[in-house]
Amino acid sequence: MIGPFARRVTLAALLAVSAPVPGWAAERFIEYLYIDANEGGSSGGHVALLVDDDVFHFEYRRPGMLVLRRETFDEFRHQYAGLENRTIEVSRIPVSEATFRLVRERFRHRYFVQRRQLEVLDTLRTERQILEQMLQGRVELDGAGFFLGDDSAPDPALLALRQRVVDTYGAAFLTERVEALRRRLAALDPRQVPAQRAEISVDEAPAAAYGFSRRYRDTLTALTALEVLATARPLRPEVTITAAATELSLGADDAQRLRTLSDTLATSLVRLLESPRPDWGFPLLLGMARLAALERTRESQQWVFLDVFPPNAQVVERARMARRPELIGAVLDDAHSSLEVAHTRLAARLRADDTFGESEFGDLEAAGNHLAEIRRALDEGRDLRVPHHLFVPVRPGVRQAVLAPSARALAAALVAAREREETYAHALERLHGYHIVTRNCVSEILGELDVALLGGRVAADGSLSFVPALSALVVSERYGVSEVFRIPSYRRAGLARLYEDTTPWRVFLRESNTITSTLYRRNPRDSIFVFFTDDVVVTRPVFGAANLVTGVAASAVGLATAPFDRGKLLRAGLRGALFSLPELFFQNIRKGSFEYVGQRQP
Amino acid sequence: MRLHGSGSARVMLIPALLVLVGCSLSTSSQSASDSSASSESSSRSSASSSRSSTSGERRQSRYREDVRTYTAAYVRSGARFDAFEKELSELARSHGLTNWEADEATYIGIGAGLADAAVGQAQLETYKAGFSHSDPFKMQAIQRGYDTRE
Repeated sequence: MIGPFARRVTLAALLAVSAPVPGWAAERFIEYLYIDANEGGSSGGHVALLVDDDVFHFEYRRPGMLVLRRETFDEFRHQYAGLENRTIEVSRIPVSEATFRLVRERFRHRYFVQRRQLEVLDTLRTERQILEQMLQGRVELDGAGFFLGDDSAPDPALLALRQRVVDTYGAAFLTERVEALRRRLAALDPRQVPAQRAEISVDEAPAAAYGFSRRYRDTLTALTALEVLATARPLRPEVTITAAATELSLGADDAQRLRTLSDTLATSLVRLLESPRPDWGFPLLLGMARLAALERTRESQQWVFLDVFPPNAQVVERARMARRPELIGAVLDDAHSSLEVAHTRLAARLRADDTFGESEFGDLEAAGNHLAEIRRALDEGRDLRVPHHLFVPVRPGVRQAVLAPSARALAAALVAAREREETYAHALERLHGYHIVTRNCVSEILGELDVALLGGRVAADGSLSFVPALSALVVSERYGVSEVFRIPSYRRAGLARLYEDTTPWRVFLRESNTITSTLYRRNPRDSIFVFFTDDVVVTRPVFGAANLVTGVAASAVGLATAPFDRGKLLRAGLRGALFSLPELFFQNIRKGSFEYVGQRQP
Repeated sequence: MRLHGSGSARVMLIPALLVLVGCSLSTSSQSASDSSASSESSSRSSASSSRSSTSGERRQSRYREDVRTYTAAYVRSGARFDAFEKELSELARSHGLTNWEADEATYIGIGAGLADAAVGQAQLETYKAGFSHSDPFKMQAIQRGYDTRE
């Protein structure tokens, strides 16, 4: 640690030999990002570091942990400047190539170690949950919910796949595979749990571990997949998504493409059946479900995809859809563009080799879901699920546990699993605990930069450098910032465009409030307010007073409507009043936020 | 755009910020406790890149990079091989891949990870055979990844 007394001397010496590099002579830059405050998740502002295309930032995770996140700059900007409507201030620090690599490696390593530790905690939680389910006699399996029961009419695509398996491996293959899995299930011992080291550190990643309950679940999933294949069960209708839209109709080139896709997918599934990996059941279930969806596409001549929306997807209710033409337009634009890109990427993959490109097909599946969802919402008057974070379709289903150990053995294993989970969770909370002053998103980034750029952590000297809004000043003083610029929030960027094209006073009058604004539509997550105060200073207290009155009035109405809306309006009104208070003193926190911002927007 | 006078404006914020200082709340914090045993774990899904906001090529390069890091850590840890394969499955799934054995990027990433772990030529052959289950195409991809180390 460098003490406050020695700080300036140390800095002068180090800066003379290593950093900063003058902007004009710099080989590389790292960029310190300060993100304006907003109500909700971060009313004190936030900070991050951009190195290469990686944005590293520490988020607060309940109940009290600081978690390092890594995102691409586009993802970060879309979230913070777009959806959260917050301006990002960028402080550019010129560095040498060697320093750039050092900073990047330090953050990547720290990110990886913590990510692994959080994964271990997730794994311990999963193992405990599986044991709890096993004690109830049932286990939830990913992919088991795609298919109907075995008394349904067989699916033609799965019948063909089954025949292909028999042709490749012989008639007895499936029976022998089932028997092998049953033997494996019977041999699993709940006492076989890999030891987890009690000591954890920010430098060392935990080793991979694969314990009894996940082995049991994976083996049972494989058994389920073989049963689906043996009986060629059809898909449940509700697991697919399509729409009568021209964009989803099969074109002239699509018939051949569809045949190739089905053929390559079936080939990869046949290979998967002899895979030595321990968890081939889920990919087999998912692959069979996709194969069946491709068959439906062939029959209907309209793309049919597995539904990839998560069960807890954010929803825009149909009643609000009509009032949100700009949102519908943005979602449609994104859907068209991602569908086009996905088609191109898939076609290139099919031309390049004769294997099933899961990544490329996954993109098409997600883009198809995106488009079908918006079309169904418009044509059938459904609620619109907002397409954030679309990934692998999972569809869990519950099945009876078979060949499980005795209830007594499971109960003993559960006690041990709970203890392991609690011990590890406490150790992680101690290691990565959040502290408002000494360990927050600022202190951790500055600490890492100190070590990389100055050779050691600079001791806290009682200043307010831990406050996100003030930290850029510290960065400028400490690391030799060569340039500062701003990436405006979504609304501020829109305002700038309007001011260029329209009479300024008209824009001001129209866009200064939430009622007549063309850029902002009320997001249900926002508090109740009338006037924006982030782009005005002189009128801020007046606007703030009006916002305060509005918040109090909304709270009074919310009190009356609380029995009907579960206190939603009351909470929004109270938050509206609270975030109006700083505005009375020329301060701004609230900026409004957006439910959806198109990918092509800032 | 250059900033002027932002420092003094920020100093005025101090009283408010003393009670409001804090960092962004993790959006995955709720899902961590709500996630079911069968679904993708919260830390894995929050660590991955969304299909909608990241290009396919960028995601594939991220995947290769992650496989590389995980492989290097595995080699240094001496964990069981099937535990590593299971970890690889979950990593791949967070990148939208389930049949990771059929994706060449997996083996290129493994090769780069072996190089990062400073595996020598003699050991490399053993690892290549082990990771690829002696599949010649996969062995070639591992070698390519190994050769491309920085």
